[in-house]
Amino acid sequence: MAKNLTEMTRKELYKLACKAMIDRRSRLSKEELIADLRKQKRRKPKTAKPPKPRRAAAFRAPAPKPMKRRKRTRKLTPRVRATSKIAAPPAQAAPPPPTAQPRYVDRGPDLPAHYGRDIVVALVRDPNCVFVYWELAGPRTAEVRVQYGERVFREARWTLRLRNVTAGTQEELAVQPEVGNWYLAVPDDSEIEIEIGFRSPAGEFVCLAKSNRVSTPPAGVSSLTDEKWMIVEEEFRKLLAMAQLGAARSSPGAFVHRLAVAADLRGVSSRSFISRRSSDR
Amino acid sequence: MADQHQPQGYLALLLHAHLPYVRHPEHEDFLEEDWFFEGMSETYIPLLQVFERLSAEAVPFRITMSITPPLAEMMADDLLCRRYLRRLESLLELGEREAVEKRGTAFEKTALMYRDFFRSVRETFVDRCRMKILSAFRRFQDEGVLEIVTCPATHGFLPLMLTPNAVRAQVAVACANYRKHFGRDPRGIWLSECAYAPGVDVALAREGIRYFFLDAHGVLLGRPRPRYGVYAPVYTPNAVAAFGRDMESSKQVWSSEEGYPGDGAYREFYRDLGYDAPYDYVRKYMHPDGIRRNIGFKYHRITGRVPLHEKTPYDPDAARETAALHAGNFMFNRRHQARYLASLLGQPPFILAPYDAELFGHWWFEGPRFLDYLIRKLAFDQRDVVLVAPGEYLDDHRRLQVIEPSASTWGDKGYNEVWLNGANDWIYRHLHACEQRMVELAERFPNAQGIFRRALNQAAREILLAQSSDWAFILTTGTATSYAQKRTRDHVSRFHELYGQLLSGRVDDRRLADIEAQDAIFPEIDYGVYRS
Repeated sequence: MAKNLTEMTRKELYKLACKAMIDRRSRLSKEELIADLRKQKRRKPKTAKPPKPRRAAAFRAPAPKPMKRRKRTRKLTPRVRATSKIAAPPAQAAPPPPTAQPRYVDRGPDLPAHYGRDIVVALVRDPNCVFVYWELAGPRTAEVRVQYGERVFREARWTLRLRNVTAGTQEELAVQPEVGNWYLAVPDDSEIEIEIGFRSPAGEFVCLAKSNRVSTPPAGVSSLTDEKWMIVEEEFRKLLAMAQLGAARSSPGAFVHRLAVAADLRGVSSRSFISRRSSDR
Repeated sequence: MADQHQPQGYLALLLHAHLPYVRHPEHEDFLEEDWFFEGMSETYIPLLQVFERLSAEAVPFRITMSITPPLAEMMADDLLCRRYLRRLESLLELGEREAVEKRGTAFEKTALMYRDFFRSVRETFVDRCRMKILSAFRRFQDEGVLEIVTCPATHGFLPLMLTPNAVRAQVAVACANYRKHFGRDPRGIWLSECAYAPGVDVALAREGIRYFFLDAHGVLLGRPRPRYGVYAPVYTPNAVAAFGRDMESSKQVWSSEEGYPGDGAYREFYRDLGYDAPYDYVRKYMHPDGIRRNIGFKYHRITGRVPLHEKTPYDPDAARETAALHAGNFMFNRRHQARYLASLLGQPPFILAPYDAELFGHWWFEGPRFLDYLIRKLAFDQRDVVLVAPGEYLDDHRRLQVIEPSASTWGDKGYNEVWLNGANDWIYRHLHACEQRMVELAERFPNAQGIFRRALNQAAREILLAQSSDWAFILTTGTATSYAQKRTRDHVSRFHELYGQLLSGRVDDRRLADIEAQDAIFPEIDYGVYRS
């Protein structure tokens, strides 16, 4: 190590903290960062690689496909990690370490830092974690800049507002807008929407972008034991394929349900029907 | 299933054969093309040889394979096949040399085995298949012993796509490509990384796909609760059948500790002539950069948990006997499992055992032999377990429970983390931007002709190539990451370049021809698949 931790600037320490995945690092003071980094160092060498690769690069290693899915025991902290800065394209944010044999040093052209939009996009990582990325580079952001001044990006309290559509609740998490992405702890089996914005001086939430709606999968077996059965015959299938084009895209389940209702009303033949019955368990 | 005897259970063996599209006409010699060459010699051709032997000896069997569109395109590509032949001949020459070199040593038998192995691979590839191995696979499908399913066009990770158009395009392009190569519609699909999320079935139904596969928890955590667990297929709300993976049979083969491939008698993957032989001797079989790498001649057995230099010589006959033993054990376990499940469920279970095809042969050298033995034993030594193809099973079992499967993948931890984490999450904002721009282009130019049509089709190829889940996977595993970065950035940049040219109304013909020659996948593509 070239420099002692105490000789580093906060920015340098923060970079190290990113590598060491220190929780809440963006909130920590210089001294706190140093303390946490020292602790971390004593605990474990984070970057230790497995002793040997199981297979050649191209072929998928059989080992990583776990047979038993370990129940998640460690709870995710809300602020898991932040990587890229908005100023630099995310692809450049983490310069790859020099490797022993740089046979292929060409990593391709740089990608755009942004696409001139105001967006926030949510992606499900697992039942308890959603990844969001955002871009504040479009007309809405320009409007806010005019209305509130450049200062708003540095001084206002920026938040990600997490709306749990299923539970009808919402919470806000403080965030730095220039970070560009975040991993959020979320409840399983829920529909989630995320907005990015800030609190105006008057205390109201000013929204710059709203995300797509995502659903986290259930973490456990369904308590629903009401069974639904159906037979799909070829001609019925064609019907499905035809009718489906517009109808089913928005909500997958609704269509079959509608068909089931229609089938009951018409009293269709035994060849193609959908029946509903309750569980005999 | 015409058998009078009522089976206790059905077993579907599924081999997922996939490699990302790696083809670099701009370089005479390109390291990553080796993935394809190794796959050909060690997995795809040996599997064909297994099917050929079984078929010639009239052993009844059913097996399912996904041959992904990029792999199919590479198998059908003249340039790659010529390069592969060149590689194969050089290995064959080394094989002849080694047979002499190792005479009178403990490695003699193994050296002869390699010589014969490469001879037979060459014979299959050149003399019998005329360098067109896809048509050989197709022949087995037409014979009814092999069911080939497709896979999203470039092995794209569907649940992490933003627009339904992009998901649909991955499926639609795959289906068109399947029709081109196999002369009929695909009935089933292997979703890349087994990745499903509610709504993906809409795209499958729309393209007329009848079934797909899920990891076990995708079915088990479905709603309502699946009555037969993973041991019977279910219908999704959009009436596509889903088969859940059986973990027990998976574990016996996949697991690095308990799995068969870790047996001491089998060939050790990491002890390779490329490192063991004197440099001058192997130099001409290596890449121009002269760095020592595996070349595929391995003379040691796994032995046990010992360092590489303590590995003992490989004995092909002993390894073969072990493969037979393992095949017998696998069958024994499936019979017990089937009987137990049949009594528990009140109907014969459907047991789905999916594996990466490349596990067989490339990693587990004796894997194809194991399959051969297993199929023979299942055919002649018992009647409890019957091999089926999923499509065939569905023909006979039409009444299925309807559930909404849970989002799931077969990756570490069962969800999306392998393809969405700090090492690769930066790619998604670019992939999504491409998606939205591609949809915009398709809507804006509904009937483009001439050079505009070519540019639009090429833009579609670029976004598809960028979406390959292999890049995200490689970025996570940390090997060959610069190549994965480059491929992602290259395709995204080329896409934006074409997008810019199309919007400005000025397409650069020479540049377009350049890109077309480099990323030549899916000549049949129609960018219209991106329209809403």
